[in-house]
Amino acid sequence: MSDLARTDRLLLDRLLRTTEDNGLTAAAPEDLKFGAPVEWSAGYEDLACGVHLTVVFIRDPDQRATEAKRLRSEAAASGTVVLVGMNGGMLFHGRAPGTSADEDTPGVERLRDLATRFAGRE
Amino acid sequence: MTARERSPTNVPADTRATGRPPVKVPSPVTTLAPPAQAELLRLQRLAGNRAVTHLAHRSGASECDGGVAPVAVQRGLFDWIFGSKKAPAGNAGGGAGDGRGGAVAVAAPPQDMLKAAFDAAVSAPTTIAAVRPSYERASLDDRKRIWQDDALMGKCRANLSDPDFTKLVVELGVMRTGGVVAHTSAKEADDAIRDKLKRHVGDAVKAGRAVQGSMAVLDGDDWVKSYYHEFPNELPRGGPTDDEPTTRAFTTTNPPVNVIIVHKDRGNPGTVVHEGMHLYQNDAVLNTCGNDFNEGITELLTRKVTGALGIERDGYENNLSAMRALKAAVGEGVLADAYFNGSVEALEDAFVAYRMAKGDDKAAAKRAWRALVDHFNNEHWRKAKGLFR
Repeated sequence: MSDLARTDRLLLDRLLRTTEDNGLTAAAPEDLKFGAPVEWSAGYEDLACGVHLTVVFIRDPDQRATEAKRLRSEAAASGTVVLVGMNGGMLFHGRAPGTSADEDTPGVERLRDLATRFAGRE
Repeated sequence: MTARERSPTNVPADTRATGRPPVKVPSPVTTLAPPAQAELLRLQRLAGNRAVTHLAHRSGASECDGGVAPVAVQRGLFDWIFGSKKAPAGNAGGGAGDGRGGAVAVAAPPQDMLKAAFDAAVSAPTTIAAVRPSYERASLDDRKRIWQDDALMGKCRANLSDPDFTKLVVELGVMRTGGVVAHTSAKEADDAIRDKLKRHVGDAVKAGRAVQGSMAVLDGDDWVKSYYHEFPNELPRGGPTDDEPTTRAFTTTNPPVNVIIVHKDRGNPGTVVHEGMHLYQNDAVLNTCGNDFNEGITELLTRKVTGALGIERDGYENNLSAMRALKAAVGEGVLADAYFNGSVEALEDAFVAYRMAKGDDKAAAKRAWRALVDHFNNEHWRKAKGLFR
């Protein structure tokens, strides 16, 4: 793992505080089905809210943006709530299966909260 | 190096110290051959006349005293202006000169005279006001040669105060690239904000608000120095209150104010747009309705711009969700007018009218407005959105 990738991995840990603070548990990352050089990936879920997160590190900005667009259009087609975000080399996408974007379910609110945490302060 | 040290080539740094009488030197421009004159004039345009003549005099050609030009720089400039076998290459300077001036053939234009002048200015504890003449006439491309020099930036960190350093990186237009984020440039952000929100930002533009000239993209020690100047209460680094590792950008509130500092390897191409939006904002919403409310409008308007540019964007998702509900009730124009022009009362009136149309009396509608602001600031997003059902 490169220094940059390692730095972002540490950043992710800090952003999400994955264990006790957030009630998240580690989960297998989704099968991303793309050819970009993913240097690492991580998966988390909040079982109580039915939320699943995947974070991958894709170094190339263009490749990362392309993947984000693909994820968003795929979600729109399937009607699943997906939040997609990027921070540094990381691409975050979270899903709350079975809920529509207009709903304010606990799962959707949880996703928004996690996306904001992932984004960090600006 | 101090001003009292001498060049190893025996070019006197201070003629009075040698006991020799001062040497009067004619204007360098008029005594040089045409190619050298042209180059000196170019140099003067870049680095400022004062910096060039100061260095020239410090090279030992006159009685001029004071100043901090390093010997190597003095040598290089001296040799180049007053005669040498070859033009100086970089800060290391060139061959020995005779110190008497005269028309010379210049082998190649000097590449680093701007850096030399800058180096002279930052080699000892100093202020931005003292350093500025060395670069203020240089183009952004030329300034880039300064900030790409790690040694020079190290001297800046060491010899400038934190606020002056932050001013400097902005004035130099430092924009570190090559990391994992393709940050939007300041010009792109200005163009996009002024294009996509042109109905709303006219007064802000007239007031001179702009991202260009107000932003720097930093990393490493440069970022750290500017960050803890803005957030000194987060020290010590790594302590329980330290948010530096998770901060991707900020707009300064300590002098210098209203400057955007972005981390090279954090955030996304929308980060500069979001921070740029803060530069165009009128602070009335922030001061009246609080930070979470303000960030909600900021992000709402940011998405309008980034969406049009095809930039994927996250952050402030709950603030955004609740602000979208307010936008649906009062309209984007009212929100934008409050944000950019400070018309917070008009925003409140629009919300009160919305509530009264839903059956509230005026007193209840006004209470609902205060509740809305409170819900934002307490991050009670569902309650905030409940006011629109």
